[in-house]
Amino acid sequence: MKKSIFLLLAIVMMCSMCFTATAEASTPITYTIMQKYAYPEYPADGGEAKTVMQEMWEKNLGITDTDYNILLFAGSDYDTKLNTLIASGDIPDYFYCSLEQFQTFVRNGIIAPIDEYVADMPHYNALRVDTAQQNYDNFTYEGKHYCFTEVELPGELNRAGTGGVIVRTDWLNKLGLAEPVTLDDMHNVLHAFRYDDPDGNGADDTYGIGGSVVSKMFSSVFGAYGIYMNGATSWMLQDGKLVHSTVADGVKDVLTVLQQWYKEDLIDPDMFIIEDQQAQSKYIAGNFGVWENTVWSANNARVAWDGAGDGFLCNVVAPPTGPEGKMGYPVNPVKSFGYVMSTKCAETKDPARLCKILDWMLNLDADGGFMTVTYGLEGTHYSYDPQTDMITYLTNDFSELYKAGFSNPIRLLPATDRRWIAKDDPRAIDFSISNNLDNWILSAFSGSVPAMDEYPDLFTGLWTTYFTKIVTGALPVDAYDEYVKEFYEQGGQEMTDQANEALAAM
Amino acid sequence: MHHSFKHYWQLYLLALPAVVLMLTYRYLPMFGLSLGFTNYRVGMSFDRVSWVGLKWFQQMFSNKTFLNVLWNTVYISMLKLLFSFPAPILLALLLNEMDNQWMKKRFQTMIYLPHFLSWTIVAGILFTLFSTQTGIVKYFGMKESIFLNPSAFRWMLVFSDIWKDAGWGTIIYLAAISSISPEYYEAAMIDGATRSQRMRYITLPCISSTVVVLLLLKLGNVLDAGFDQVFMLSNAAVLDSADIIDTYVYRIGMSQGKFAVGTAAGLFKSVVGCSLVFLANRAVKLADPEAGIM
Repeated sequence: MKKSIFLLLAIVMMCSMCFTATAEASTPITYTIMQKYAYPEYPADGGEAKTVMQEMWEKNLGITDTDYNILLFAGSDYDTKLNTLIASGDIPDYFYCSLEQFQTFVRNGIIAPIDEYVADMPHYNALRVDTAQQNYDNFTYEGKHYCFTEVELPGELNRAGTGGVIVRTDWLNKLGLAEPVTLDDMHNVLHAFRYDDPDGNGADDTYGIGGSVVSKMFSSVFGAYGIYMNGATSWMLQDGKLVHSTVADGVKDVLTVLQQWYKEDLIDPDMFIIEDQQAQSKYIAGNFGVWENTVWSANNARVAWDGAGDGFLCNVVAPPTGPEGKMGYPVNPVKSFGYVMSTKCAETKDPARLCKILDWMLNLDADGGFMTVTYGLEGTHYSYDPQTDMITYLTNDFSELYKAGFSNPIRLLPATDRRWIAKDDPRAIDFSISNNLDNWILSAFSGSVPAMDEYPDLFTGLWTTYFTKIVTGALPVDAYDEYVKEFYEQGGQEMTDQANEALAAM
Repeated sequence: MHHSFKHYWQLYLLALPAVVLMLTYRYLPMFGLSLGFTNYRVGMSFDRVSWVGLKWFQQMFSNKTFLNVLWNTVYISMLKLLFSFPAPILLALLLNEMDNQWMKKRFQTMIYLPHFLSWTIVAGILFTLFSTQTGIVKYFGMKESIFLNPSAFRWMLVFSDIWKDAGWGTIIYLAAISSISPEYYEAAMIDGATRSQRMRYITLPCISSTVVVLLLLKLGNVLDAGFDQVFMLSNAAVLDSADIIDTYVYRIGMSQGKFAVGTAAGLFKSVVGCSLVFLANRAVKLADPEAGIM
């Protein structure tokens, strides 16, 4: 009897071990992914795209029992939410990471190195050339790489220049003005937009230039003085040494120009208060005629005006030339963000599987995921002409793609591809300006140093406050000297020293 | 006590969920205050966390930014104490004098409604109203945006706070006024007292204990100044006159991941608030031993 019981127990134990082994081989995994986007249309359950993705993974990669959960947060909400999740131990498996935060995450062991996984990603490696390789190397710490960075398909249209100065060309035509070439021309255009009733409604309701707190704040004006101004990671070379753009030579001249423009009432005061969406609405409503934003914003306005039959039009124009012949719109081909894998994911959630999926998303072949992830379902959302290598969207706008769960929210390893822009599309014309290398001004340093994370308030707090107050006239231009002093006292010196050391080491 | 518990166990049971909630969300998290004395940053493993003592407090008090933030908090709180605190009292006194009950009820409903709007919505309303291009102020010739003027901005904080919450604040004062015996008013009317005299010699003294209790509670929150309101309405042009301790803690702690510094600032605020409550209560008790909350 006892022998039978022992035998029975042994059989049961062996069966349970087998069952456990089988269960481990097909352990379901759900990857939590955090993206810095705001797409309210994206469905919480992932939509139709999730089903399609899972079927394609099974068919093309042999991957089953894999799910994903996309968390979308935009702007400063992203950092707050990410910090909260990390502090609570609920770190996402794969998330957007900025250059400023990258080193802190590495030092705290939050993110894992990716070199061993990237070695087995042939499609990613094939696209990681030139600037894309520089992007990848930008996120190196002690010889190891940590970030999956954006790549681009070959082609001029796919270059990094997506923004510029957008002008109401119908207003120019109505007022008999040419596109502004110099800063003085720009001033005259802004003056005319403000005072010459460009919309012809008899009301004093238009400003020359507007924008939002998040838009490029007069970057083209800084460019006219040879200064690269594009957020916190903006650096210039002066006498062979790096200086932060906000304390570079020429900034005071820019502030003088802008303060004068504000005094002449050419600048919409709301631009220092409102968010991008509100600025877009104001632009569409014709509240101001010039702003600095992306090609996509210009197109959003054209789409909104389309069908109104009023001949409203806007285009990206070349940035204006300054008094010394300098010009440029800031472009950063070397990205200041990437996507990282958390240490938790690397240790517990089959990172090789995740990387296989990421690589598949860059596979342009028929069994690859690139076209489906980026454009949706062929025949439903897009059509492809192999003769011309052109893609045509069959949907009215991108929101239909997001509603179905495709495109940006699930572009986990983005590759720039603009084959869907036809040659006669106004966006192609805009890109010919924004991607013209002659119109670019580049940062002298695109790397990361610890002081950037230690003193983030230098740009977002100190600079923005002084800039806004000087331009709006609350402070005189000479107050800029106080800013320079405070910048260096409050961590700017440390940041500059570290940046120069990092540049010397490159 | 045993007898009391046995006799009133249903009442203790009724209070139990609230006590558990209070312990869980107010007392237990106090252990997290120790973060303010460490070098913790977001994501740091606990083996790398070390004790730094009063380092963050020393840094805060030698940091011009924090001292400016502290001054803004006190200034805005004092403005609100001076204007926002008496507003519901005045409103309640006026409501009490309304004879037409039908009108009174409808008026009460109207003034309660703004309380239910979040500051996100109120901010949107204010931005639209005060836009110099598209807002109603344009028709009054206002050229400069109130949101870009640091001194006008503080007043806007006060008046928008009054607009939003004064009506709701009348509830407790109206309740206190309704408990006053009508005989006092009748006797006063017989003696020939006017409306204002009845208000001054009967209504106000009878609700004074309520006012004192609410004032003490308000003093305990004197360093609050209204995070939601300031966060939604402020911008770079007014940051140095509108940034308060709560928005500073949010920015430094939550957005920049410096949890230790944020905790230290928050702890400072709580200690000051608690001390003020005790001091104010002491002062009130000296004047009237029956008044106060402790």
